[in-house]
Amino acid sequence: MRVPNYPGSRGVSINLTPMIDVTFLLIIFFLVSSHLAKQENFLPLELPVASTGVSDFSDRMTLTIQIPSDGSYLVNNARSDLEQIQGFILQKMESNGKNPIRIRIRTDKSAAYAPIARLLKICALTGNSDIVFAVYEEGR
Amino acid sequence: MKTNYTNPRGRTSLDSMMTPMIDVVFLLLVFFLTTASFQRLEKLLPSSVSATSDSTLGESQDTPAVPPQEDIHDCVIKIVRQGNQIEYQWNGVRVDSLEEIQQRLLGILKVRADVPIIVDPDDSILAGDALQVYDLAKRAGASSLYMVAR
Repeated sequence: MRVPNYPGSRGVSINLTPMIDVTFLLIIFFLVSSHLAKQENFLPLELPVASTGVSDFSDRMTLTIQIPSDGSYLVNNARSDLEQIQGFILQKMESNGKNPIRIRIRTDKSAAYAPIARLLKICALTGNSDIVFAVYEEGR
Repeated sequence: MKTNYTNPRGRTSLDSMMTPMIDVVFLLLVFFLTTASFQRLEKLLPSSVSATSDSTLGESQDTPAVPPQEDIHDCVIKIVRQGNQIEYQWNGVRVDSLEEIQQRLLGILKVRADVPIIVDPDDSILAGDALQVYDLAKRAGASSLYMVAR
């Protein structure tokens, strides 16, 4: 960008506007990209509603398993069966020093309970008792 | 983009003053629009697992099995489907409504807060209905609350 230099004016003054423009753009870019990175694994599901849900401030290693209304299982947005899920859980436990992990179940409220019951069994068989359901807060 | 400069007479042109301001206002607008979360906030409902007596869950030692229903120290809330209706059973006995379950829970938890409460929904029950009962028991103050695994 060329700043006109008129005769009589003393030198070129520094214009802050483009710098602020670029700074804002960078801030927006990083905020949006980090937001997308957080959301990429999550399928839009109609979660069950509960009043006793708590906010997640835990940094425990978590495996998220999603159950859409057709009762299938999705891990990392890929369809999986129970055997594969058991493999994923064991793999994650291995990377957690063979310690139990947190298993987060995101289920559609119109999915049947049968796939959840079978999944809970896998969790118990692998020795994981920290199971959380993703829910929406009541009345919002 | 025009720059903010003074014309030869020493006056600042209004046009050149407005442009960076509009730039910044648009940027702020885009910033707030993109960062505003349009998704509903998700919460977590902590849960524990219980196994039904007929399932083969022998390997896990830390999960209690569903006790026989005559055991008065445990409460099994069964959710079954009768046609299009959902029926609730408290230790095998039909209960009319969720309010009644809540009353019973409040009564029993007042006497003994750590009584194990087991929510046992049928396979065909929807997850939303199962978690509704679970949430109800948790709200009533149940500390040992389990979902059935099969």
